[in-house]
Amino acid sequence: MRHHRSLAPAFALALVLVLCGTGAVLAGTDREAARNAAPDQTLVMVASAWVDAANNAASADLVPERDDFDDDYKDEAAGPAIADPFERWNRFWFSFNDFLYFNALKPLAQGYGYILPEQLRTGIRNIFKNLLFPVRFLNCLLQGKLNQAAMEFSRFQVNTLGGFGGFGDLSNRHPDLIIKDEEDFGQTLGVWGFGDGPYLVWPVLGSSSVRDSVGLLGDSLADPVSYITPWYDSLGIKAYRGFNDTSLRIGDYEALVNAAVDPYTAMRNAYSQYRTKKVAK
Amino acid sequence: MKRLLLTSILILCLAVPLHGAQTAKDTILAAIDEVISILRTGDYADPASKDSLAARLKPIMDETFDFKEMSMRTVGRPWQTFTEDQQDEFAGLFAQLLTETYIDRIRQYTDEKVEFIDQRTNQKGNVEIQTKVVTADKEIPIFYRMTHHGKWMVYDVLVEGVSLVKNYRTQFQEILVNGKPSDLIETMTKKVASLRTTGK
Repeated sequence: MRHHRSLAPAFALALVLVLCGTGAVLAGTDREAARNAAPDQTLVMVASAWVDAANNAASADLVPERDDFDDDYKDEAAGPAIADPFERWNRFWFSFNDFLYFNALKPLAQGYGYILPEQLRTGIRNIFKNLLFPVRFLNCLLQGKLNQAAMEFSRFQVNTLGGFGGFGDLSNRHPDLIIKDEEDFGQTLGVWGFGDGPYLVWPVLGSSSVRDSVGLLGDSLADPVSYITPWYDSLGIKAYRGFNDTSLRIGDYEALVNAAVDPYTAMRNAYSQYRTKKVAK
Repeated sequence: MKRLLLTSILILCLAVPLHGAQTAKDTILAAIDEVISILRTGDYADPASKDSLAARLKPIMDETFDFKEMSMRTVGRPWQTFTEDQQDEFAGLFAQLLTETYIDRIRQYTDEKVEFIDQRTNQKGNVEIQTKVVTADKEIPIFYRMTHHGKWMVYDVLVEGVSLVKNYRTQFQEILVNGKPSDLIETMTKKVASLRTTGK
């Protein structure tokens, strides 16, 4: 019973958001057309109306950004893109994670992949991703990206109502609703002007930075799964979420290690470039 | 005067399509199409087929990637301290490393599609061709930066915003800060040899 009570506020909030949004938009769209359309078409129409409204309301920020394309060697003089004062600690945990991956995580995830077909695992991942909507939505708002917040909102409605809680990820079939950049609190802090801070490698979780570690803490506050009690159920679900994701990404880490002369440096630099790009977007 | 004008217009008309046929965009998209059509002809996920796939893809990669330019850019400033022989040796090793790892990666190709998004040109006249690989449930942006040395060739690839050249540059820098060019070449030789033995 305790489980249900602790989840209630999150679900209630989600439900209210969905109902408010749907009601408001349906009032403004052609009811006749909505009635005649197939259920998921209606949802996409609703979603489009939202996106259009958002497009009109908030004009996109079109300041041309300067980047490395003009200045190819910009990073050379500046030294490593991310500071690494804890390199010994980081290298230790990098080796630890590497061992853990190849000797436990990967074989287990491969076995799991034999039992559960890929489509099912993708569906499970989509449900979890849909549940993380509050994280992305709040961070869009915190970064002033109203347009993208509206898109996230529409996606959440389409997926929750028409896609079996996100399993089908219906919104991906609508070109206007594909979100190329998912926001998190680490990026929000970056947009607010905080630098990466030193590079950090955490056991199991892997590459991060001081800023993005704070970001992870912030995001877990907006993650509905965090509010499941007891705490070990919550942790278990998060672990399963990560494990399921891993089963769909086997080969990525191997490719990086295989191509690298020094896998640790390659990973650190890839992480830093990837996060810098995400903050800039 | 009139005739001169007509002649120059005529020359322009002739010259434009000739040059236009060789744009950076056409070059890279043609190469991608060729690679995809080769991958579609057989099931290359089987490790035993790696050599036959490599034999077919290598010529395309040599045509498309400017490995000398990539080597120069990844090594950065210390490139000047390399002798000409060392530069050639390094470029050869780097080409092998990139070719082997690239082929290993795309062997798992199933039915992803490659779509052109956009392109832009920088002040030096280099072109960035922006594409995305579309899989069943996600899109991966892949950008090719190209320079024109007689023909358009790729000098950097950015996957989800991560530049390949920059990534290798940080790795090589760590070796070159305390080491000599010969140390880097030795590390590269070992790396390529280890790919040969474990990569199959």
